[in-house]
Formats: sequence, C-alpha cells, structure tokens
Amino acid sequence: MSAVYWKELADYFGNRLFGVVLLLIAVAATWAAYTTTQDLREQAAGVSADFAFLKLFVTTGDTPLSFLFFVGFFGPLLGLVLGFDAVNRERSRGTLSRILTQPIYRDALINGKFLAGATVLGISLISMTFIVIGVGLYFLGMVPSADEVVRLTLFLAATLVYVALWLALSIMFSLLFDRAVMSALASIGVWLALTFFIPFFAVTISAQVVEDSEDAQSVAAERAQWEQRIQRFSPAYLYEEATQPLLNPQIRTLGLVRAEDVQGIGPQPISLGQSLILVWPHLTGLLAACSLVFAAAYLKFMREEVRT
Amino acid sequence: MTSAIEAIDLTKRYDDFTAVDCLNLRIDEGEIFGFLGPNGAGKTTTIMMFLGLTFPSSGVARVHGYDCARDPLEVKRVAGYLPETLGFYGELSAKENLLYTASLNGIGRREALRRLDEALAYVGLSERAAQPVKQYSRGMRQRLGIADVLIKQPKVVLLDEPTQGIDSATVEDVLNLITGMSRDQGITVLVSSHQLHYIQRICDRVGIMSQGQMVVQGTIGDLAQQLREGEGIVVEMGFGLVSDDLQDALKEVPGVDSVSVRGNLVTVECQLEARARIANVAMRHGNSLHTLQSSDSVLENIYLRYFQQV
Repeated sequence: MSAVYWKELADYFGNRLFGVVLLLIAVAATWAAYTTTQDLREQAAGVSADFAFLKLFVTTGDTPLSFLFFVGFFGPLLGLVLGFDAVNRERSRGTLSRILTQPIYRDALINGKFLAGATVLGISLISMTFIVIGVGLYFLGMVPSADEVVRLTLFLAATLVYVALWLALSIMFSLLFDRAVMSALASIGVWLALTFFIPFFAVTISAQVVEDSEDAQSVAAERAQWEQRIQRFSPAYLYEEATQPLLNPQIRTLGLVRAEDVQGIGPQPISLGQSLILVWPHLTGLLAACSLVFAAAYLKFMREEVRT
Repeated sequence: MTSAIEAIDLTKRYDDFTAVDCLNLRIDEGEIFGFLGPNGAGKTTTIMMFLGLTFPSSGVARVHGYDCARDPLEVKRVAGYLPETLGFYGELSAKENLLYTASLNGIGRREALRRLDEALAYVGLSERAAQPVKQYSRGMRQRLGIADVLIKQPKVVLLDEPTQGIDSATVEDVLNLITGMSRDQGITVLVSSHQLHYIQRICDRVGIMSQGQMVVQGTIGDLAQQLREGEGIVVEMGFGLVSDDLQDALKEVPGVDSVSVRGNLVTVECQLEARARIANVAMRHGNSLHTLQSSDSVLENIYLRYFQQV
C-alpha cells in the first residue's frame, strides 16, 4: 500500500484545483484572523487576556467571517476536490486495470488514496493554523498557552475528521459515477443539501412535529430542541457544535439555554476536560460518519467488477 | 508438468446472459496461444478471470497452478497483462510510470532502475524515457505497455487485442516483441484478437471463441485438417486469354468441383489438395497467367465459417 500512498501523495500535491481552493481558503482565513487581531487590539483593555489566542479562530468583530467559518464551510470543498475523480479517472484512463493486475491487494488502492488524501488535508490544515498563529504572534505579541495549544490540536483533529468525511464521500461518488463531472456535481449537491438546506428542513419539520398550544414558551423550546436534533444530521452543524466549545471555553452548553439554568453561573471559562465532555458525542459522531462513508466506498470498490 | 494456463469448465454468467460457457483450455509453458473471436465472444471476460479481476460463476481458472479466484495475488505476481486500452498516467514520464509499476510489485529501486533500462531498451524507447506519456503516440504506448509488463519479469503474459488501432508497421514491431519475449525469456503468451491474419503468424496454437464457447482449438495444421474434411476452397486466376483447352484441363484435375469463366478470370472451386495441381495446369495450359489467388488462408475460412453462425 505504501507505493500507492506515496504516488497519490505526490499527485495530490500537484493537483492544481486543490491548490486553488486551498489558496482561497488560506487567504480568506488569514484575512479573518488579521481583522480579528485589529478588533482585539482596539478592545484589548476590556477583554480578559484569557484565551485571547483562541479568539483569533472564532471571534470576529463586525463580520461573522472567522477562521472557523472559512474552514468549516469551505474545508469540505478541499476534501471533495481531492476525491471526486479518485477512482473514475483511473478507470477512464485505463490505469485501474493495470494497477489492479499488479500483485497488490485491491483495498491497497482505495486505502492508499484515502490516507494520502487525509495526509494532504492534514498538512494543509496544520499549515493554515500556523499562518494564523503567526499572524497572532506578530500583531498581538502573545504566545499561546499550553491549554490553548491542546485545544487547537483537538480542533485540528476534529477538522481533519470532518474534512476527511467529505473526502470519503467524494471517493464514494467517484465509484458510483463513471464520469468525473457527474461525481463532482453529486458531491457538491450533497454538500450543499447537508450544509445549507438542513437548517430550513429543520424549521419546517419541527413546526410540523410540535403542535401549537397555549404555552408558547414551551412550544418554542420544544421546537428548538427538534430543530437541533434534525440539524445534527448535518455534518456541518455537528462540526460547528463540536468545535465551538473547543475554541471558546466560555461555552458551557450546547443548544437552548433557559434563564433558570444559568442562574448564578459566572462567565468564567470551563476547563478543557469539561469542554471535551461537552463535545465528545459530536467528535465520535463525526468519526463514525467518516468511517461509515469510507466503509461504504470500500465495500463498493471491493465488489466492483473491473473491466478494461 | 503443470500447464502455464489452464481452465476447467470455466463459466461466467451475468444475470441473464452467459459470457463464458464451460471453457476448457490448457496452454503449456512457453507456448503462444491465439485467442480468436469476434467482439463480445467472451475473450476479455476470460482474460479477466485468469487475472482474478472477475470471478467465475463456476469452474476453475489456474495460472501456474495458482487458482485465479482464490490466489489472485500469486497469479498477479507471475502474470502480466496488456489491455486493449493502455492506461498510463499521462503527466508522468514513461520512466516514472514504470517505476510505479515496479514499486507496486515490491521491486527495490536499484533493481527497478536496472530492469527499467533493460525493458525500455528492449522495446526501443530508451531515448524517450523522460518524456511525459501524454506525448506518446499510440504505437509507442503499446511498446511502453510491453515494457511495463516485462518489468515484473512475468512467466505468463495475457494480451488483449494488442494490434487494435495501430498502424501496420507498429503491428509488425509489436508482433516481433511478442514472439521475442516468448523465445528469449520463455514467457507463455495468451493473445486475444479478432485480427486473425496477425495471430496466425505468431501463434503455436489458436482457439476460436464464439458466443462464450470455444468452438475449435488446435495448431494451424490441425485446423487445416479439420477444414479438409469440410468444404473446399476457391482459387481465382487471371489470364491474358482463356482457352477452352485450359477449362477442360482444369475440370479434369482431381478434386475440382466446378470451373467458371468470366472474361479473363477463372474461378475454380476445389478441395484443398487440388491446389498445387491446379497451379501446374494453369502454368502449362494457360496463356500468360498473371494473377493467382486462393482463399487458402486456413484460419480465415474456419473463422468465417464460425462467425457466420453468429
């Protein structure tokens, strides 16, 4: 498998489309981080210095566009770009049968492709993070604390799993469709549907599920809960929920918070362990989704009839 | 001695269609076996089963004693495959493509480089080795394909339509390379094609497939023998002038069924054995014989006969 891995790794690094998407995201994310440093400097007196570094990744002053936003929303594109023609291109070029008649296990090809893709994604994400850290060091003159480093590492791991999920999905589509155009469209369609449409579905469905009653407040609460349940089918929402508490230690709970729940609780940040407990189900959920999609692609590939 | 390639009652059924029907085949080591048949006869499916890429519905395929369905990895170690449409990574150079094949075969880099030089020299591509494959012509790709197969030093090579879509000069090269690798390195070759006149020249034995079944197999001589028992052949001769004398003489040759004359063209239907005597008679009695042509391409006759049924 290592032969396939190194070959694919070299290919992915030379992939121009990937380069373009990565450059766009990196520029946008760096810009977001830079504006944040400016905001932070302005309000430096008022803001506690705790976790200032993490704020580079989540908070932005006037615009809702943060590093997290860019990576969360457009990171999937990186995965899709790498995977959408993974197998059908080999097939249409006729290299698939040539590779598979070499003495390697059949799964070595798809495993090698997936792992090489995940490696490239990992390297890209780490580089982007370091750029943002560099921006922070330069403009804020602060170093991240140990706690922040751990939180960032966990954030990166979660992001990698999230992006790898889309890589696995697009590899699966490259198996289902013979033409790269079709698999690209299908991947992007599923991405759009899961990321942008589920929120709308959630509102409609929850309105259907929870009937109107006199107690408007409890209806609203129940609907919000249903919305959250439905939205969690969207990997994008799951990812957002998983990473917010990691990057923002002040988040203590996910979802709807009632006034009586937070009575007497100050704005102090919670510990890393507590944040982890909060997002653990989300992280496992993401990992499970990624594994499931890859497993589906794997099975499909192993059962495939290979013709010239 | 185990056969290099062996099929026992090999069958492949798709939902409502039998691609390969109870195929039995034995190819000895070092042999060149021609696998003939029209498109859709089941040749490619059979080759895919020998390579362990497609699994038989029933029956066994073996390559050097390894069961192709159970031990595909061992089979792929000893068998090289040259498909009809050659797949190379166009943006990589010929050398890089071959190095990738070598690394998939677990060949160390130094050994790979040595074999690569050898293989490229063998097919005459040494000077173009650094060029990206997308700049290669189809004929060059075909030769590169042979080099690619030779890298793993196979005992058996399966070629699917290797002469498809290339010009006749390149076909010549490819055929010479095929016979060469069989002769020099003792490689067993199975070559599938529907272009019989090429195959006829290089193969020790041929088998003809039609609708998933092997309808006939044997050496070219065997096939000729089979043909003799059947219908005759047709000899066409062109003369400067056709005399009655000539016609009578031709009719008297044993084995001649009919003689017809159209202008200066004489068409004789006869048995295969009569051919030599017809030529003699034509030389003696004929007036300036300028063309003589017989449909004696044995394979062609058999081939046509079986394909007419399709």
